[in-house]
Amino acid sequence: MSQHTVIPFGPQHPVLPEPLHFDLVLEDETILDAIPQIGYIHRGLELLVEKRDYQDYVFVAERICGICSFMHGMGYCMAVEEVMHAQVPDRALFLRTLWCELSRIHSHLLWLGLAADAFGFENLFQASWRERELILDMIEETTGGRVIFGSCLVGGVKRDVDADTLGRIVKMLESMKHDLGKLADVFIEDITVRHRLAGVGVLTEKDAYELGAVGPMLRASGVSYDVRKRNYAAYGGIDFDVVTETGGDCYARALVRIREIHQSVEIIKQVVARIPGGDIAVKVTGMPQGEAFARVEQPRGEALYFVRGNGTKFLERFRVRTPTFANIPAMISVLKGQTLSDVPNIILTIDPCISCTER
Amino acid sequence: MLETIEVQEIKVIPRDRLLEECDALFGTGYRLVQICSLNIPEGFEMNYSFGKDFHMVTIRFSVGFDEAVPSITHIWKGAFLYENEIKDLYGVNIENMAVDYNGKFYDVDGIHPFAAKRPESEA
Repeated sequence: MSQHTVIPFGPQHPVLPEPLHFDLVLEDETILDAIPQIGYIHRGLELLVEKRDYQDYVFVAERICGICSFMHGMGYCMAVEEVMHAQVPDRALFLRTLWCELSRIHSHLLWLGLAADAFGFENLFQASWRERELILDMIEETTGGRVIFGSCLVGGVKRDVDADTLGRIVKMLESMKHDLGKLADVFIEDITVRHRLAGVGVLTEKDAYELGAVGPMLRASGVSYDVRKRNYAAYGGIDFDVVTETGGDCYARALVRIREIHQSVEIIKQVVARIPGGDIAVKVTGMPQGEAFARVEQPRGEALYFVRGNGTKFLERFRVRTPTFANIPAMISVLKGQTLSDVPNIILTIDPCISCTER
Repeated sequence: MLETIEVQEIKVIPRDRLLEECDALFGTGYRLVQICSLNIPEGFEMNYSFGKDFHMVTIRFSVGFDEAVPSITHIWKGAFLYENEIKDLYGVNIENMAVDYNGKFYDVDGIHPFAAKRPESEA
């Protein structure tokens, strides 16, 4: 007679960078169900909007997560700007795009390192993070911060970046190309990596779409959906194709992220080539009255922001639907039927961000 | 204009038309983007957002404190996560969820920490 065992996975686990918690229901080594629980680091940031000035809340929104910090701040600003009918200057939109893409590269490199560490490839982990440090240096040079940028505000951005610095960023990215290529080759070609990732945790195109998966999790299953193509920020003035793979497995998810790193480098080069002169912000005055949704494509996928103002300086409601939250149903679906030893890899390949989920 | 503004399509419906609207959206290829609850004096305002390509539509209705909202998990399986979240944080009574974590999805202090204090006559 079969016996079911429940094994708690997390919140503290050697492979997890953040405190995710699942109760795994197993029959022998096979997973029958995965029951998520969140709340370990829940901060109630959505409620905090009722007690902070809507202009100051940008800095709280940025602190939802330390990896997509800029994009959280920007998504919040976009929603408020929509309510306030603020027209953000084009230069600010290009600068936002620059910082979004630097964030994407650093997030994907962070993930590559964590993934390598999870399957025991230590020097690949260190090589990935060495490249990431260079990106963080660029972020520090342009914003003054490495994790929390503090450079977005309602109506534009707080800091300009001069032409010399922009040129230096492009040169630096060009010089990184060789090492990024070598790194990508290992992930794509190495037999150990393939052994741990290929054919593991397959999510079909139909399930990815219907379960509401987003980001690389969705695109690795063959669905061509990237919110950047909706043309927010300066993406309407940038040429790029949506990166997709068809495998639907952990390996395909890694490939999507690797290709997106190269794509982000090309996007930044276009931003630098096309950035117009002019103001970097418009002054937004008055109190928000009304409501709006905004969506941005974070490294982990689509994030949705909803704000509702009641004519006072405090917003009535702020809602964030983060990509990791949207990916949990797909992750549970993928985990069922897999073996316990593959759980860390599968969970890592959705690139979970628990700070976002427990906003 | 460089930036394309997100189209804000919000459709207000009576609560009992939720499933009918969802069936129609599912049939035309929409998928669930999010479910969000808000406190209003007479109970909760429910917002269901659905997306197809880059178009997003939000369905909205209000519900009393103790009135039940039908689950949409039989239409979109992934809705169970949003419904459990709203049930745990706001205390909205959602019926017939395909996966019900019975208030244990959010391990946070207090019962329904996001819910506004009910008027005394309702408590």
